[in-house]
Amino acid sequence: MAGVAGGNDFQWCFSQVKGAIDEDVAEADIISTVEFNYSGELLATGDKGGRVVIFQHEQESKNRPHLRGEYNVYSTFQSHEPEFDYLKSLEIEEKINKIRWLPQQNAAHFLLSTNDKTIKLWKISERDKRAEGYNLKYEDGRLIDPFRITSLRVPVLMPMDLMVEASPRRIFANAHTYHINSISVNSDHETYLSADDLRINLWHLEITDRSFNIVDIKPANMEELTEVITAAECHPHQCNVFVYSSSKGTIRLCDMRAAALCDRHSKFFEEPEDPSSRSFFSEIISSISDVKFSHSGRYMMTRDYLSVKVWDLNMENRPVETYQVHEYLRSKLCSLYENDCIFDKFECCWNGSDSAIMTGSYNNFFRMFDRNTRRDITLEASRESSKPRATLKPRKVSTGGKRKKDEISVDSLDFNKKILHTAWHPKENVIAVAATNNLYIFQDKIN
Amino acid sequence: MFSKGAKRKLDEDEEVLEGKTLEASAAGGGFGLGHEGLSKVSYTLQRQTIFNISLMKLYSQRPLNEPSLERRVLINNMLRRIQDELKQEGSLRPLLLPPSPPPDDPMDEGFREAPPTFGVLSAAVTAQVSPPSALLMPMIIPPPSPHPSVPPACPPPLDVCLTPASLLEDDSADSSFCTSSPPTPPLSPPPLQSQTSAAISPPPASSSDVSDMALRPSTAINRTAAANSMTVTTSLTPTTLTHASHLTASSPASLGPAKDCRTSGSKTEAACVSLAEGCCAELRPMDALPAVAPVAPLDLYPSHSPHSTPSGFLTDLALDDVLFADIDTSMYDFDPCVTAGVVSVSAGTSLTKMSPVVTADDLLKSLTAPYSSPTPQVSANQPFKIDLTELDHIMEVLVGS
Repeated sequence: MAGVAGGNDFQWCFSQVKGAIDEDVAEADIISTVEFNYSGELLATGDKGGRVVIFQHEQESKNRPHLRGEYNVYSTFQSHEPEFDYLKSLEIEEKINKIRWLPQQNAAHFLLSTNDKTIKLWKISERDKRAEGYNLKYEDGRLIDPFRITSLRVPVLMPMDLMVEASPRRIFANAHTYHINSISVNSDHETYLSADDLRINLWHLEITDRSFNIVDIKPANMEELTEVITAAECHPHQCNVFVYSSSKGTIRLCDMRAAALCDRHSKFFEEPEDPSSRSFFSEIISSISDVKFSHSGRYMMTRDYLSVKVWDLNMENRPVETYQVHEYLRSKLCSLYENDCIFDKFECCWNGSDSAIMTGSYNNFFRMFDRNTRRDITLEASRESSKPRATLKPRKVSTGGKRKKDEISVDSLDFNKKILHTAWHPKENVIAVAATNNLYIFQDKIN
Repeated sequence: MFSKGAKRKLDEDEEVLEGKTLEASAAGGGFGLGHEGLSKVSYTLQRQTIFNISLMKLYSQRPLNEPSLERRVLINNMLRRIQDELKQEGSLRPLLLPPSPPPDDPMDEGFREAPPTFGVLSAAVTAQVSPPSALLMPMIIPPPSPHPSVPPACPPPLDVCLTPASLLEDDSADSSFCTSSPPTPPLSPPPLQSQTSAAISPPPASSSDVSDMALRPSTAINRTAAANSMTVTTSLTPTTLTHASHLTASSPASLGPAKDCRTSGSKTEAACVSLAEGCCAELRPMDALPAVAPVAPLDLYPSHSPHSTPSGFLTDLALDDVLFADIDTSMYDFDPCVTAGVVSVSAGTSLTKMSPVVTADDLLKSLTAPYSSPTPQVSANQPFKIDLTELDHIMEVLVGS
């Protein structure tokens, strides 16, 4: 695959934007997760209102050959409702924290969605026919007296408008005391894990009343708590391996074959702290907000507040690559701490061939890094450039000194506009970027 | 964050202010390795600011949803770190720690005169503390945060910093610190708090605390001493002095009590109290510097016996009181959500607002009492105007603004 940025080979251009244009953003409409399915045909988003919206890739139309087809709404359903925890007198938000697709096994699609406490397995299936010609019921639904039925009639399937149904198949509840931050489907296609701040549970997709607690870092005395689990993911190929990251910037790799309880890790990835950049905020900015295995399973990528790191699973003492996402914020950490932005959880993703990575930033900027050329680019998700096929102009933030034309100064960045969630099509150069309540879809320009 | 969009302008203003501080600290070389004076000052200042912000964050949560554990842990670690640093610096400790007496050793003259285990005070004089920060504090802390209802929080004494940890307890019944917390008063903070209330105004309502503190006769003694010093407001009586020296002397021993406090899990009240008393505790060391500096550090040693104290020390105390009063008024003015005359104390308001459950009677009393009667502070302020401007000047020179 070609480079992300810049080469001459291709550029990113606008494809679509979803969501209201209003300046007024309803809290419930804020997108809280974005996820392509394994084929890239479907794209799911979850929002703070507990809804899941699934977009489907439409085939290329003949009259617009330059576009690779668009994503259109396929199904929308309410996945989670707000609840109230009467024991704690606290509300349980309906916000969808994560969505994970299951590998497709048949015509239907399955996905897991979770809020802070409860995970649900949804089946999304199509229906475009219905059975007609029963002689067992009257039209109003009353059963016909069997004695009056004299002949055998076989119902026939009649075509009807396509209907997409989403039905909850399993509800995995009551297993998490803390907030669920990750779910990850295992490569055995039968199990998945769910992680909250202090524990990781392993589930069977068919069994809802039981899960296995495989990691528990809760200290006996909560006053001694200094570290929490921030993310966890299963290895894409080895079903016994998973990793989890912590608020101290470390990643632990565990092997479920070693023991049923994985409190003791097999590998421990940590980069020694650079004493020259030490500050009050060192720990906070080193907290890992997302961890993702590469498709190959050889690498994993972690996102902390200021950077993205790529780790080779065979080297624990430092990452093989480190990319600065918005280093210019280092001098602003105090303000970012004060306004809580420093706790924002940016996610990251790989492209289909693991040659490039993408993650978000503030001011509706998102960043891509080409691992081969080491080139990086900053792009902006904005309505201003949202004409079909409009090429995205690289953006630049001026870091001190004179601001050049076309540059934006650090001080004028809008910290309310942040891109936390992005997704990369597993096979093509199509990306989905969640900017508050809008979902932007970009693709590379075909020359 | 979106809900806070409206406050954008304010935020920017404050960023400017903050920027200055940060620049200053950067210039100084961060951890105080560079320029002795300036860097140390700005570093302490920054630390103080962060400390204040952290406390505000921990105690000003909207308890509607369960707050993020990660955020709480990180903030808590931040507080712990700063606290460890302060401990290591040592010099600050005696002045910062509330004068909690050793558990089985009721405070008395004999104890006070006990020789110190280390040269805390001399260290303090050697520029460990920054004078400007005390003065700057009110200007920097104010109405910055996205939590408008939260007023400038002052740093609490060290052991109070530990209390947030107890708030993390989630599995237990009182999972959210905001809603739960039986009115268990912290073990050690009260003494200091008594000073606070005393210093600000006649110490009226905190009596409830006293009763709670029955374990410690010494507390009561101390309290009265402080109260005396304040009822006489402007005059620097020996009592004040005693009180101060007691502060220093007791500190080495106060480690134990500090631990107690931690395990006892002092809750919300501790926080509120800490906000108030933090001012007091923090200011003392800070402003002590300019005035004390001329006095040879060693002279301070004898001051363990109250009678041999050099006059320089007396002046400090006077300044303390002034600054203290001054800052307090500023807190008063700054709080945006004060409907005139109502409890202006930041912590008080925010906490009571957020979770009515917490409003244990004594908490309210102890908080409202000192602040709802601002008059004494004002009067206390008058005689020291000159000193204040002097300090201002010194600070200007130091900061170079």
